[in-house]
Amino acid sequence: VNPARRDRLVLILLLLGQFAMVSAQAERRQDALAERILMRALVPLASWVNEVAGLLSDIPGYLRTRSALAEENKQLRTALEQARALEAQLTVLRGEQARLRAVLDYRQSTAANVRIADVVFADYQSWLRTLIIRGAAGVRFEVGQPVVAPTGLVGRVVAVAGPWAKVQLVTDRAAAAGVQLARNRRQGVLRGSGSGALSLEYLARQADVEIGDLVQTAGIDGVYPRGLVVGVVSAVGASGDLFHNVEVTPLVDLSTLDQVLVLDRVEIPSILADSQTSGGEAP
Amino acid sequence: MNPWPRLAVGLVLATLIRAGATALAPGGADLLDPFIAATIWIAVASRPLPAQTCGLVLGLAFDLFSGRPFGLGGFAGTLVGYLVARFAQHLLVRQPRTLILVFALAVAVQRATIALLEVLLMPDAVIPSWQRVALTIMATTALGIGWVRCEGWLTWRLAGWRRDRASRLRLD
Repeated sequence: VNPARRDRLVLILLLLGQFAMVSAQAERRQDALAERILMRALVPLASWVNEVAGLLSDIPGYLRTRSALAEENKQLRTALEQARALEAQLTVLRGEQARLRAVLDYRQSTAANVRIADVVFADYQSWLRTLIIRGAAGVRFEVGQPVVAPTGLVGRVVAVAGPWAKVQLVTDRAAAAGVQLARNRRQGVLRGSGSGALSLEYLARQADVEIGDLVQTAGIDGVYPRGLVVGVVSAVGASGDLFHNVEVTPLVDLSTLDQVLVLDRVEIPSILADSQTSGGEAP
Repeated sequence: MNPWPRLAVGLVLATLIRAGATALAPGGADLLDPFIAATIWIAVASRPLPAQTCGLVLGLAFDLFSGRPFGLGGFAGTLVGYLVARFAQHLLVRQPRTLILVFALAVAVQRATIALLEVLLMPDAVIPSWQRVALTIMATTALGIGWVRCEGWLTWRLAGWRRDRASRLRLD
């Protein structure tokens, strides 16, 4: 068979077949059998094309969505940081409010004039024996003013320089205060040990003292007014002398102080002050 | 080269190009006909019988994705495949200008065949404007020329790689 003639014959047959198929399809408006067969063969390819086209058309949307999400994420991160900063600020304000509420409660419970001061320096090197405090504008301190916290006695002012004042803590080895047991009014002298604990001295052996007894100022030393809570008895030992050997734990956690209250100095009548000066050393 | 692998490659590439064009420019995708470009690419390098068969398959694939009555593209593709293969048997069609002419004429023949069949068989046929036909011819010709250039570049790279590999084997 002549190849050229064969090619022409095949061509004519193919063209005639397709022409018949198209004309039949045009008249009856129905799917051709060949189309259905080819559809079956090419459907996987067609669906794949659709998927590819869908993926291609989704790319701009994906990029836009990704960009929008990145922007939204950035805004949310900024909002989160602001919220965290606000939360931290609220925590500080909540603590300050609690402190101020405690101060207010204390002021309402005491008749003494109270001034608030901020702790600006704590002497950690020597077991928290001294603090430096600073009062509000216009407030001036005096040597000898008692310093307290809402939970108990802190110490007394021992030096003043402008708005600043140095406070000797009750735990200082050189500090002393006249105190009494709240339960039975037995009096003694409380001294600091320099290590955080306090020692109650000159409490007679016959005095009834128990662990847990509340210790408060007796108002007999010319420095601290009566009734300021100092601490609780944490240990009672027999020294073998005339007095108990009593250890007192302060109620105030001196290592966490950031604000204190400064009371007015106890005014002692001048005649008594003179007799006290001539009669002996004040604690 | 055997025309059947070319048919498979042409079918896949044309489908990809068609899908990409549809996704990027849905309104203008019809201006580019990668199936007839693939038909011509196969036909210039093969005999009439495989060329018209490839034209038939690619034309039917064109119908499948174009929305026209099924068989119009197959008819035109078969005719174009046969004519281009016959033309390539008598003339040297590897020259760039000749290739451009072959692609442009073949696309024009395909569009004219489809339009003629539509007029004959479809009572409500819409004949595209000559500007649109001209744009289709230019775009499809450019695609076909690019297709042939890519094939030439890949063939050249493959031959270079084979030469390099053969020289290394001799040295070893």
